[in-house]
Amino acid sequence: MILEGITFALAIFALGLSLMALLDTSGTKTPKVPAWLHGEKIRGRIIGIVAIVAFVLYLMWAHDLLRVELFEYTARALTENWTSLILAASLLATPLTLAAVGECLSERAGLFNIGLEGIFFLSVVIGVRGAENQVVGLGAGAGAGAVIGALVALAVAEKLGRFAKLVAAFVGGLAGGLIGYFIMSIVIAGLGGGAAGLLVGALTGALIGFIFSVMAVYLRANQLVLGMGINIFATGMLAFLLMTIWGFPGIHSVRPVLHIPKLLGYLTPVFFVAVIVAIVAHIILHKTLFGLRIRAAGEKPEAVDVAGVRIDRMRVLVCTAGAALAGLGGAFFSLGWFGEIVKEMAVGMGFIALAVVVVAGLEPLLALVVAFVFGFVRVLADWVATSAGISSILPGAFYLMHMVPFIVTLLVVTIFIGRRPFPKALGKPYIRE
Amino acid sequence: MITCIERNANTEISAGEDEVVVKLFGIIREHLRTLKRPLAESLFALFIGLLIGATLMLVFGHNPITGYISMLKGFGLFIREVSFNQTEFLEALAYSVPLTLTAITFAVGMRAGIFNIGAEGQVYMGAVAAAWIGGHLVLPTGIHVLVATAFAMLVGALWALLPAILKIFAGVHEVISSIMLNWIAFFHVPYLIIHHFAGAYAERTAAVLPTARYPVIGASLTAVIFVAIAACVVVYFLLWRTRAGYELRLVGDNPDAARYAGVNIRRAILISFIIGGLAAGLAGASQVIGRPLLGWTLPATLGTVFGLGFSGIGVAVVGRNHPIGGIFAALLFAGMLNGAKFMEYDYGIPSDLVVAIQGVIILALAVPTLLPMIRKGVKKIGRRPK
Amino acid sequence: MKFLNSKGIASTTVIIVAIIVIIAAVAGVYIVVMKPTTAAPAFKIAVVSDIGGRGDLSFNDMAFKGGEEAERDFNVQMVELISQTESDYLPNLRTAASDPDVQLIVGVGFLLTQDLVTAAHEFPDKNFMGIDTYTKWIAAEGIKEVGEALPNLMDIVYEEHKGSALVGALGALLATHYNKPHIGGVFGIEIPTLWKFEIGYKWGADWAISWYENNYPDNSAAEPATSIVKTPIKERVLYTYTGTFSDITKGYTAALPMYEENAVAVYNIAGPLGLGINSVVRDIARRDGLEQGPPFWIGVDANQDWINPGFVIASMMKRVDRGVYYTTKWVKDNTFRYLVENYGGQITLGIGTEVSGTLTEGISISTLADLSEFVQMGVKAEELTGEPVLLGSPEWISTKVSTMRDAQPSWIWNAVAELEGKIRSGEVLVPLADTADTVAYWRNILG
Repeated sequence: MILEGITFALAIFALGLSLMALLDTSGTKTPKVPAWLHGEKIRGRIIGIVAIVAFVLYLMWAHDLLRVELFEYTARALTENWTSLILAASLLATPLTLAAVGECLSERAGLFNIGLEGIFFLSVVIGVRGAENQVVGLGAGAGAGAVIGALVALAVAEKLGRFAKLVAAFVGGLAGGLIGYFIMSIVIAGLGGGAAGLLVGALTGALIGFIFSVMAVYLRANQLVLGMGINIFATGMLAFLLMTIWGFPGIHSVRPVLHIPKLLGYLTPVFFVAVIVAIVAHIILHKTLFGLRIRAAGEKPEAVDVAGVRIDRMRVLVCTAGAALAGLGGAFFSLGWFGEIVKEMAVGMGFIALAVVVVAGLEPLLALVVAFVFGFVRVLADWVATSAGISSILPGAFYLMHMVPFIVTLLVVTIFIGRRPFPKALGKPYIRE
Repeated sequence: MITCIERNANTEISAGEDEVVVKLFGIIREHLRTLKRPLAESLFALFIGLLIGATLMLVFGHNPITGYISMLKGFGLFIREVSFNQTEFLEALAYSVPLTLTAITFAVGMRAGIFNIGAEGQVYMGAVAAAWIGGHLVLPTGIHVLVATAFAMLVGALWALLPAILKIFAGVHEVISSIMLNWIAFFHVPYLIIHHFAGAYAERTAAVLPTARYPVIGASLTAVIFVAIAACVVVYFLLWRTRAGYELRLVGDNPDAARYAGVNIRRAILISFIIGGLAAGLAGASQVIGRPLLGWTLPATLGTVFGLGFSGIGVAVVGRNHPIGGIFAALLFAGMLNGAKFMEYDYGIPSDLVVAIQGVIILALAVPTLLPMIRKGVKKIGRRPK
Repeated sequence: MKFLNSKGIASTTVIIVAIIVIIAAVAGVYIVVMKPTTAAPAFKIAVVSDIGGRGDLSFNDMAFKGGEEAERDFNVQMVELISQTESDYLPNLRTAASDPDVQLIVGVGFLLTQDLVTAAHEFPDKNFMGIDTYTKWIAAEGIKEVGEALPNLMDIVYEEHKGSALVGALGALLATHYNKPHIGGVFGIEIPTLWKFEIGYKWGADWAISWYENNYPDNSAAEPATSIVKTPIKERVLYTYTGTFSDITKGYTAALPMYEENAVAVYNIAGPLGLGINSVVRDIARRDGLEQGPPFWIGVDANQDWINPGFVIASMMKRVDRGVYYTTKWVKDNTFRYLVENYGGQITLGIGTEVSGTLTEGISISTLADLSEFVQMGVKAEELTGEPVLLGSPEWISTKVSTMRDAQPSWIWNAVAELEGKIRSGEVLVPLADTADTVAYWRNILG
C-alpha cells in the first residue's frame, strides 16, 4: 500500500516535470540541468523546503497523524475513483483558471491585482442579478458598450481639439451602447439567461479592473493596497447586496432554468471555455506582436515607450480584460456550479487563484494545469476525509486533509519559484522621465 | 564686578530654560506640520467612504442620515436619552485593541517593503496559545498573565517565521505564503481547541484562570489596552529611534540605497516579520485573556478572532502605516464596526455596509497623491474659461 | 507663517472643513435625537441570532419564524439583532435588554450561554431564554454556581440525538431497500452539539439494521454484498466535518465522494451546506435523468423538503420556532418565572416531552403538514420581494413530495414510526454524546 502511494507520488512528480519541459517557451534549448536547479538559488530552495517539511511534521504531530494509514487511504481513493476526481476537479479548476489566466496577463503587463477575491464575490451576486433580471443584463451590456465606445472614440480622436473629442465621445458612446445592447439581447435570446449572467459577471469584473488599473496607472496608487481595498469592499458588499436586493439575507437560490447545465454529471461547458481562454492567452502572449508588447511593458517599459506604444493604455486594457475573466469565473460559481448564492461562498478562491498564478510563473497554459492540479488535490483531500472508517483511526484526519491543498501550494511555490521571476516592472507605476 | 557676574549667571540660566521651551515648541510644531497632510488625506478618504456608503444606502431605499446617526451610537453617543453612553464607548475601545495591534503587523511590514497579510493566522495562533497557558497552567497571579502574554506573542512570531524564511531564502512572495499560512491556521487551531485544549465543553478552550486574566475596566475593556498602547510606543521607538528601525525603513523606502549602504536586507526583513508576528500574537491574546468574551474562552469557531487580521490592514492604511496613527484609526474603525449593529437594529441596514465603506476608504487612501490631485483638480476647475 | 505654502493650504483647508463639518453634524444630530419621544409602551421580544444570522434556512430562520408567529398570535413586536461574530453576543444582549419595551430576550445558540448569564444577571427584571444553551450548568463568578439556575433565565434544549436516530433509521432502511452500502452525513464545525447529531444518526442506523435482521431474517441474509446490511458496522456511515457552516464548495466536495461511494442518503448537519449537497444530487439527477431520488439528502432543523422536492426524503425538524413561540406565550401569561423555578431553569423539548402536563414536543421528522407551513414561508418571501423563491407552485411541490414518499415501501415508514414510539415511551434510549469521551466510545463501536 505504501509502495503504491510512493509510486503514485513519483509518477505525478515526473508527469509534472515533463509537462513543464513541454511548455518551456523560453526559446532556448533545454539545458542538461533544468534552469531552476541551477546555482545559488538551490541552497535557498532547499532551506525553504526543509522549513516546510519541518512545519508539516509539526502539524502532523499536533494532529496525532504520524500514521501510515493516511497514505493507504489516499492511494485507495485515488485508484478507485480517478474519473470522478478528475471531473470534480474540473469544476474547481474552471474559475481558478479563468481568474489565473487573466491575472497572468495583467501581471505580465505590470499590474499586480490581488483583488481577485473581491471580484469573485461581486460577480457572484451581480452575475446572478444580470441573469434574473433582463433589465439589469441589457443595461449592463449597454453601459459597458457605451464606455468602451466612448473610450475607443476618444483614443481615435486623440489629435483633435477639445470640442471634437466631446463629439467623438458622445457618438462613440451612443454607438457602443447600442452595440452592447444588441449583443446582450442576442446572448439572452440565443444562449439563455445563464450565459447572459456570466457575461454580466465578466462585465462586473471588467469594471472593477478598470477602476483598479486607472487608479494604479494614472493616480499611481499602491496596487497591493488597492487590491486589498477591493477585497474588503466586496466582502461587505456581498452580504449587503444579498439582503437589499432579495430581502433574504445569507442565501439566494437561482431558478434552474438559468443554470448552466452540466454534462456527464460534474463536467461543465464553462471548463472548455476556460481551456480555450488559456490557449488563446498563450498564443496572444507568445505569438503575437501585442503579446510581445505586453511582456515588454512589464519587463522594460522604457523600451516599449520609446517605440511609441502607449504603456498606460495597454496596461489598463490588459488589466481590465484580465479582471473580466476573473468576473466570468466568479459568476460561474453561482450560475454554473451551484445555482445558489451563499454569504461566504467561494471564500479564499481568489487568493488560491493568485497562488496558481505564481506557481505557473505567469504562463497561461501552465496556469490551467496548476489550477487543475490544485482542484484535484482539494477534491482528493476531501474524498480521503470521507473515507469509510477513517475517523475512527485518525480523528484529526478531517482537519489535516483540509490543509493539504495549502501545504502543497507552499511546497510547489518554494520548489518551482524563480523559474520565471516576476516581470521587473511589476507593481511599479511607469513614470515617463 | 560681582553683580555683573551674578547677572550673567542669571541670564545664562534663563537662556537655558528658554532654549528648552523653544525646542519643545519646535518639536510639537514639526510634528503637527508633518501630521497635517496625512491627517487631511485620511479625513478626505473617510469622507469619500461615507459618501459612497450614503449613496448605497439611498440607492436601496435607506435614509443615510439616520443610518449614520445610529452608527455613531457605536462610539457611545446618543443612545436613547443619555448623550454619552460609557458602556458602548468602552466597548468600542475594547474592540480597537486588537485592531491597533494587527495594524502594526501590516504597517511594519509595509515600512520594510513587505506586504505581510499573515496577521489573521498569527492572531489565531496567539489566541490559542494564550488560551492554553491561561487555562491549563497554574501560575501565581501576576506571572501568569505575563507568561501567557509572552508565550502568545512568541507563537505569533513563530507562525510568521515560515513566510519570513521562505521569502528570505527562497524568494517566495509573502502574499502567497501568508495566505497559505492563514488558511492552515484556520484548520489547525480548531483542532487544537477541540482535541487538546478543550475545557468543560469541547467547543471551546478551558476558561482562562482568574490568575491569568487582565483586570477589567468596564464593559469588555481590560487593562490589556495599556499593553497595546505600550506596544505601539515601543514599535514607534524601534522604528524611528534605533538604527535597526532606520535600516528597516530604508529597505522599504529605497532598497537600492539600502544595498549601497551595506544594510543587511535579510535581517531587516526578518525583523519586520517578527515584529509583525509579535504584535499579532498579542492581538490574539488580547481577545482571550484580555477580554471577558464567552467567559474568557476561545471558541472553536474562532468567532472572537476572525477577521481581525484583515481589518487591521484597513486600520494600518488609514493610520498611514504609523503605530501611533494606528491607535486613532483603530478607534475610528472600532467605533464604526461597533455602530454597525445599531444601524441594523434601528433601521435594518445590513451591518456589512460598514465593511464595504471601510473598503472604499482603503481604496481612496491607496492613492499617494490624494491631496495634490485635489488641489490640481480645483485649480483646473478654477482655470476653465468663463 | 510656515504653513501657508501652497501644499499646506490644501491640507489646512481640508482639516478645517472637516472640523466644521463634524461640529455641525454633531450639533445637528444632537438637536434631532434629543427631542423627547413619547411612545406607547409596547410588548417587544428581542431575538439575538447566532453567527450567520438569517438566511441559514435552518437554525436562525426557525427562531425568527417562531418570533413572527408569536407576533401574529400574541400581539407582540419582534426585534432582531444579528450577531456577526461571537464578540457581538453580549453587546447585542445588552442593547436588547436596555430597551424598556423588551420583555423577553431570546439568545439563539449555545455559544451565547456565558453571555446570557452575564446579561440576565445585569438585568434581573427582564426575561431571558436561550436555545441550545446550558446556562444552568456553568459557574459564573459572583453570579452563580454550577447547577444553579437564575430566576429570569431559561435554557431550552432539544433532543437532536433522538431526531437524528429517526432519520438514521430511515436512511439505513432505504439503503437496505435500494441495496446501497452506505449512508452519509456532512457536518459543519466539530462541536459537541453536532456530536449529538452524529452519534444519534449512527445509532439509529444501527438500530434499524438490527430491526431489519430480526424482522426479515431471510431477506437480510439474502441481501447482496452491496447492501448496507453486509457493510461492516464501522463503515456504514460515511461522514466528515467540513469545518465551516457557510462554504458550500466544501459541502459539495464532501458530499460528492459519499454519493460516488453509493450512499443512498446524506444527512445535512451544516445549515446552508445542504445547498452544496443538493448541488451534487441535482447534478447526478441530471446526469442519470432522475425525477426523484435515490439519491436522497436529509434536511435539518427546518423543513428543507421543499428545496428540491423529490430528492429530500425528509428533514429532521428541530422546532426552535415552537421554543420561541411557547416562551413568548409563557412570558405574556406571566408563567415564565414559575416555570423557570419549577423546571430548574432548563426545559427539554424533544419527543414525548411535556411542560406543565401538556405535551410540548420539539423534535420530529418532517411531515406533509409541516411542508405546507414552510412552503407558505417561501410564498410570503416571494410576495415580499417579487422574486421567485420556490422551485414551483405549492401544489406542485406537495405532489412531488408525496409521490416520493409513497414510492418508498410502507414498512420503512412503519419501522421509523415504531422507533419513534419506542423513544417516546422510553423503551429505547438513544445515546446522548456531548463529551469527547462519549463520542470516542461510540465512534469506536459505530465508526
